[in-house]
Amino acid sequence: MSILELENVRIRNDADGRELVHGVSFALQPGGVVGIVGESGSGKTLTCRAALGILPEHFVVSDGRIRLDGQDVAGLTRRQWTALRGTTISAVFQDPASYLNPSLTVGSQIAEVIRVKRGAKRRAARERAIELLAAVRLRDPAVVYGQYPHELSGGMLQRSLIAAAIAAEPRVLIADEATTALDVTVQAEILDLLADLRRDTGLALVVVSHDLAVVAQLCERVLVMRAGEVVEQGRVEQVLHQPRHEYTRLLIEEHEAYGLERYLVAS
Amino acid sequence: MSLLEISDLHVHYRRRTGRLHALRGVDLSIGAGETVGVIGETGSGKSTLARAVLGLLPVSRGRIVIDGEDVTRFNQRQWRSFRRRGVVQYVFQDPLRSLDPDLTIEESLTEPLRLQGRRDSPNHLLERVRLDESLLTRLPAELSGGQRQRVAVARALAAEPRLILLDEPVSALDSANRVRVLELLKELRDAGTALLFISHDLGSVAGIADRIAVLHQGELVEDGPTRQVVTEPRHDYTKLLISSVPTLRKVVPA
Repeated sequence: MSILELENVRIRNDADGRELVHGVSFALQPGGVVGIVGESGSGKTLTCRAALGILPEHFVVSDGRIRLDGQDVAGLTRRQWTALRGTTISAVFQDPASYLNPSLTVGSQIAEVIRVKRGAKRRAARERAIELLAAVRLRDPAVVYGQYPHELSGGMLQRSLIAAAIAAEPRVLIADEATTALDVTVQAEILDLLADLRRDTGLALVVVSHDLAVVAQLCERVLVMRAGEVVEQGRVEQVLHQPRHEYTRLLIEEHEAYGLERYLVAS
Repeated sequence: MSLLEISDLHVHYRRRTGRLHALRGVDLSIGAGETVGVIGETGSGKSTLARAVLGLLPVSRGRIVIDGEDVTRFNQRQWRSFRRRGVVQYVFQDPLRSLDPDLTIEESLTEPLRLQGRRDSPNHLLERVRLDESLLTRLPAELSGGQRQRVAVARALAAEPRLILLDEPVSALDSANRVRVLELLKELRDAGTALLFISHDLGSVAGIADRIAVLHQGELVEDGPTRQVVTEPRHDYTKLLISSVPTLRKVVPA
């Protein structure tokens, strides 16, 4: 059974009646990984937010169905959503610094997740938080635990947020442009980390990026979105080698003509 | 002779916590018609390098020679008159910074032409960047990001520069516009304009640069023909960088 399933999901802004996402469908198996490629305005982030139950005000899923671990999320109350977030589905976004409280240590914010979501005692939560900081491959996890967000680099902050996101052992992690603001060498480390978490813990991933190559690196299946529409969807090799939509061809062409690809051996 | 010759360039910043050595002995030269990509990540000193070449910060040691003119110790007045000659032009990441928000596109493009003592209309400039003349009456805010960046390039072309310094010119654009601007830069290169293309993104520079120089922690750790740098990087940092760039192909180490 799929851990996350979207069936023809449409999203509308009720304030002006405009539909912004015109039907997205995919099924994510436990431990699987699906990628969504699109630029700003493509609807990729709204789709993720719908799956997390955090659509902005006035935005509604106007049609279709979202099932999380077999459960239709349409009728969920706020309280039920809160119980699911963190434990079943979790997410990391582009700008890690804005998701942490600058006046609290990084470790205490992760420990808080463990206390609230797992009912752990203060001391056990602290120990577990340090384990998690080690699991996201931060050197000196006990030191990082006591540091404030401004003392960490962007890459360290994103690792800390991944630690917080997986603290309550969710089954799905959405990474929405999670590496976009990072240096390319740091991006590569974070992508490796996500792949390892998936392999070691069976965490299913939704990887969202404007860069087809980032998605291609991690994912088995990919959706290409533009202006609220899924213009192409399929296995990564198929989309890369036999793109059917003009927009997908543009994304590939950009890499072929201007990227490193022309210097590399075809795989 | 080189159009741009940077030798043993050092730049220090004074900080409360002490001196920050932002550039350490950078040597870089660009010949006429050559396109050089300078790649650097956070803290590499690439913005410092751009600012030094623009005369926007004091050089601690070393020399910058542009088109035979030693600009290293220029004062502000000398910089102004040098800039007016139009040998070097600049395009930044955010074209809103290089276009006056209160001037129409026509006014923005006419100004540099007049500075060159030319009386003709800017239509030919728009044509070169493939924008429609109907945009002439608009304000920068009324254009899309990609159109604005092309206007910024058109403006840079007005002085018929021999060298254009581009600081992350496509980083803020979407795919379609990125391809359009890169195509345009390729045409400029092919027409013989030298380009100094500074970016964090090797993936957007590799396709048009004749040479790649890699900046790492203030030092130029690699400088060579693009193919050689990509397929046979010598410095450990370059190797890491190349293997980190996401591509549609598996990177096969040389």
